[in-house]
Amino acid sequence: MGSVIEVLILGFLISSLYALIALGFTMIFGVAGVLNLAHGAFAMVGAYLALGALEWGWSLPAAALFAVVGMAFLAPLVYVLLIRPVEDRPIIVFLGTLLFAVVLEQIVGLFFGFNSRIVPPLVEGILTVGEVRIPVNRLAASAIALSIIGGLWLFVNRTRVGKAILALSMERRGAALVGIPTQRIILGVWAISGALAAIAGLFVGSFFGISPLEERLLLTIAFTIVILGGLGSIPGSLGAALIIGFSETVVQQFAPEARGLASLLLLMLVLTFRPQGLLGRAAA
Amino acid sequence: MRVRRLSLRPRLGSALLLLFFALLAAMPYLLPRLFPEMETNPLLLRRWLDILVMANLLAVLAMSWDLLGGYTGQISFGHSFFFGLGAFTAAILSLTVDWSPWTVIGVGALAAAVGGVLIAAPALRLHGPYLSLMTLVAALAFDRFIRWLKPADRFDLGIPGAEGAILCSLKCFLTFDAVAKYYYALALLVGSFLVLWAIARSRIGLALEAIRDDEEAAQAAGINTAKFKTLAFSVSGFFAGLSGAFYVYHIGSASPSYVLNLERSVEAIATAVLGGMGTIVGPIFGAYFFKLFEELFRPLEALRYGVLFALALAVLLLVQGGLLSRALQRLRGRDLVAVPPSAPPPSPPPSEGLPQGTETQTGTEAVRR
Repeated sequence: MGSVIEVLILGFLISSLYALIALGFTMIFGVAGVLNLAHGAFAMVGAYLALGALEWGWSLPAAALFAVVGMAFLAPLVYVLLIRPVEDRPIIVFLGTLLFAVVLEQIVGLFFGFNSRIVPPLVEGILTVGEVRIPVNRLAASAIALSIIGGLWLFVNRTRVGKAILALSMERRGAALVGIPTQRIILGVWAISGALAAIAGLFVGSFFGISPLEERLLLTIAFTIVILGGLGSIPGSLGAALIIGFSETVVQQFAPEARGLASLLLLMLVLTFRPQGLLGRAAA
Repeated sequence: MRVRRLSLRPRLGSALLLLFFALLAAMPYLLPRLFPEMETNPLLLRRWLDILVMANLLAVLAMSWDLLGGYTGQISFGHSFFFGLGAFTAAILSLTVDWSPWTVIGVGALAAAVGGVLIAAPALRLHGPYLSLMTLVAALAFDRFIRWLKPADRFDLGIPGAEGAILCSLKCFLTFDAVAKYYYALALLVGSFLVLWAIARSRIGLALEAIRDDEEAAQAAGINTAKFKTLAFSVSGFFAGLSGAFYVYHIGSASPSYVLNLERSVEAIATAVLGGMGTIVGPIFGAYFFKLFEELFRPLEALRYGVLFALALAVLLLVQGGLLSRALQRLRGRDLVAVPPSAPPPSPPPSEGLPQGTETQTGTEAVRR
């Protein structure tokens, strides 16, 4: 019984983190139409910005804030300098963001080395529920992730700017025609996406540790979840994050040797039989 | 549609390429003359020939990627899947059956071609990012599968500390003679190039380009896109697998952490981009540039990959993304939209003067505008 409760709790905690990783990725695709293969690298760079700030002697909250604000600046910058000039050529954008991600790996590795580093936990302590011991840090991370996702949902659905973002995701030219400043909104979405990536990177760094090459794993997770849920669909991504998070936890608990294989096979099945994802638009 | 113009340039390009291959063929004799240390130290010569063998293998892998990615527009992130499939098939066969090395390498390549058909089946319904993810997932899943299967346990020939690796160096070797091995690898390069080049220049190549430029239009024009995409996947898989199988016979082992590493896919992409996507011949120069840079700047350690990938990114954006030609046009104050099709299109430096790529680019540009 204990293991079932453990699976439920750990699966939920990891799912909320996965959802956070995927959210920024799917937002960029939905609104700006760009599949940003540097998203995992953004998360990794975010974690390393915090590690760098810590090395300069900053306090942990200040370092975390620095990472989030830093990525909120860097992500739109990358868009303007690298992606916007070739935006109308999907293959170039696709390969360009991939190559940019591997360049970022090397740059970070140059300064920090390629070994895994651990971001100190934001909250110390361990909570015991029955027989299950949960680090408070993970609970806090899950709570923060969920409140960010909830806040973002309210922002998109309830505010004027949010509605402009939605309009843009439906039809860019139409949004421009009714007077929505599309470029400014797109830059804002890139900033949000960068900040979300940095937060996700911080949590991943404090749970499992992070290394420059780890970004590929983060990207694969985001990519998998987003495709499984349907490109550009935020509810789909949340559902897919739960599916991936729970299936990995279950496999980890009961058949650890097949770890990582289960979710990949699941994804291959979905891609084969429902190429548009679980909640994706049919015309994908 | 590509118009074949009568000009001297195609012949010049072929002549330059022939010269390059001739230069490679002369390498075992040239190297000791150029670098006297190699004459006194045969190990040094052997080391450099091995580096060139690796450049040839990378070239074959990158050319196979180019047929699928550059020619057909099906961006594969998982070429390590085909490379690894060829490598593991060859490694396992070398231990279990008593076939000649060439048969084993050929069967390894065939296995990867079958893998290509298997990937193509779902890929026919997938486009753009979905397709790329499918190839990536195939590569990741195969990596996990091999690590879980641990094939080496069956032969008691695992490598301690390397999960899923097979050591077959007693069975899978071609020859002890480094020069002979170098010529085998060179023959592999030239042969693969000729086949891929012939395919790209034929009507099949035209159909593949049509699929890349506009799949629906290609279908409307009566091209059986499913057939040609499956063909592109299997041919690409075949040559990637050939490279992987030969690699096993070069190194003497197959380890998931090398042959199934995503690094192989990234290297193939960077190499094809550096040399010029959609040209087949470009990746050869890209591969030699990549491997020589890697070797000559060894003191830079990991930084050289950063430089190589950054260079590939710059080539991608400036040349393939058209930023350079756009900037040049702006400098000349020419109209940005109406580019005369005869304007010399940008082509990456290594493949300059080679007509195939340039003509292709012109055709694509003309279609796009």
